[in-house]
Amino acid sequence: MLENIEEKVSMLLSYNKDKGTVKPHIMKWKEQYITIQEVTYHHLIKKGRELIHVFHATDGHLDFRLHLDTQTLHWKLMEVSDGNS
Amino acid sequence: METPDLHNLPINPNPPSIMHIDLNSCFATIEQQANKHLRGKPVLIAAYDSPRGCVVAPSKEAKKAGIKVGNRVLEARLIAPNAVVRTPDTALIRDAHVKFNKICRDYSPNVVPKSIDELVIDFAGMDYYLKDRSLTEIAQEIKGRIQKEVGEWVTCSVGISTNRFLAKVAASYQKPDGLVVIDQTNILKIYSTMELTDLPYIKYKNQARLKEAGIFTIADFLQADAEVLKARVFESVNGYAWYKRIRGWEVDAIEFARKSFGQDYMLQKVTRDPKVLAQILLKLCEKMGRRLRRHGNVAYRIHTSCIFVDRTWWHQQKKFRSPMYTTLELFRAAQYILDLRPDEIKKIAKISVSCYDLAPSKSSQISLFEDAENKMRKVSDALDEINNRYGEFVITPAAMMSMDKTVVDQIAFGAVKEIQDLYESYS
Repeated sequence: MLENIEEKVSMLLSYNKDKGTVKPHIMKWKEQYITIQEVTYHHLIKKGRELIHVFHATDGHLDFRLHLDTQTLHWKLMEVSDGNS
Repeated sequence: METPDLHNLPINPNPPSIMHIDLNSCFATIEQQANKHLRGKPVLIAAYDSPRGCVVAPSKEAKKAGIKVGNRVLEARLIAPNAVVRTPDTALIRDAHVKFNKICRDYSPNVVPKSIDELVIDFAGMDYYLKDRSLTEIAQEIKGRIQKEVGEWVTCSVGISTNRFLAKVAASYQKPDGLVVIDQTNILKIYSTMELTDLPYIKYKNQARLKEAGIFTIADFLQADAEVLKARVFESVNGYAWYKRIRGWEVDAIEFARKSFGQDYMLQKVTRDPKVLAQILLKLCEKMGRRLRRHGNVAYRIHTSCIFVDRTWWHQQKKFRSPMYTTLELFRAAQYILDLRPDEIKKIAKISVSCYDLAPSKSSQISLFEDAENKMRKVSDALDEINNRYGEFVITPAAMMSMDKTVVDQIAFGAVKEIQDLYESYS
């Protein structure tokens, strides 16, 4: 089931200077720590001048759609899905 | 290399130089790439996830189960009860297309998008880019790069041949993840395994025309005289084009200039309510107007059409004396035409609007006396600037209030000109 969340989350991430990549590792959502196993797709969304990095990621059990707002540097969990109807 | 005379034209003996690449089940596969738990499951990308929503892209697992493009969600669920339905993630699909295009451009500057999931690369005269490698080797490399740079779940079918048509035939021949070369050595063998309707652009209407002339197989099609195809089958010079096309000679390397801008919308709930229809039409005109103005054009003609709930279709177009530029000008014209429909009591299921007869906005005549109109153009430009800076529909006409979820962003299949807009927005 796909659930829309749209909630701010805390995020522990790493930045690789050589590859120029940012990778989310641990997300704190509803007082739970979720370890991101893999980023399955990363892309950008432009809303006017607003630039958002979209990370599709999984912890091995669920799929997450995360937004990083480059203006505020806030992370938002937008969607959670278990891959079923 | 010159094309020989049209009569008794042989199969093109030249080495293949055209590559057609088709991302397999693109919308669904990209969704499976982004959402790992959808992989291996029948996934349906539907315009709307309601039971009457139309399936626009089934995943390869859904296709195996028998679900086809055009099925209703309800029908598809009867075929595969475990099917997962998602609506298109337009930003995701567009990004995948841009990555796909970028990879292909590393191999030739002559890359032409045919739709959101198909590209054609012309390698003619591109020895510098080929670096003594065969097109098959290049195709394998592109396949590998798509899996590495777009996503490991994403596969593509590649067709290589002497013209765009046969390259597309080759790409469709082996799906998914195929790589087929068609040249003079194997073309007859490949044709012998195919039906007429397996050929691109030969569907029911063209098949009926061919059958009327006694052409039932591709072998018959190949044996048909060019004059018969012109005079009896296609009743135009298009017959000559088909004569060359199926023999591997290029007739489709033409890029058409933009002649119109259009938007359409399939209503989630059929209606005849004039207020609702006006709101939808206004939003369509706003989206169309934004694109018209971004390209620096004005339009002199508007075409409005609708499909009614009983599947009947009505359309009308009108030429206007003054050029249309602002959303309001486009909307007034479109609404005027829509109000001319004879069956106002019939509920509408789909509404479309397009503007054409385009001219550059800078050279179009600005009214000398109607100063208000000239001011409206400036206001329209200012509103576009604000929307460019803060996002689409930040400022809209008041009539569009509470329409956030109506006429949502969609990707047009095969709309190549819209893809050009896409590259501009990513640049």
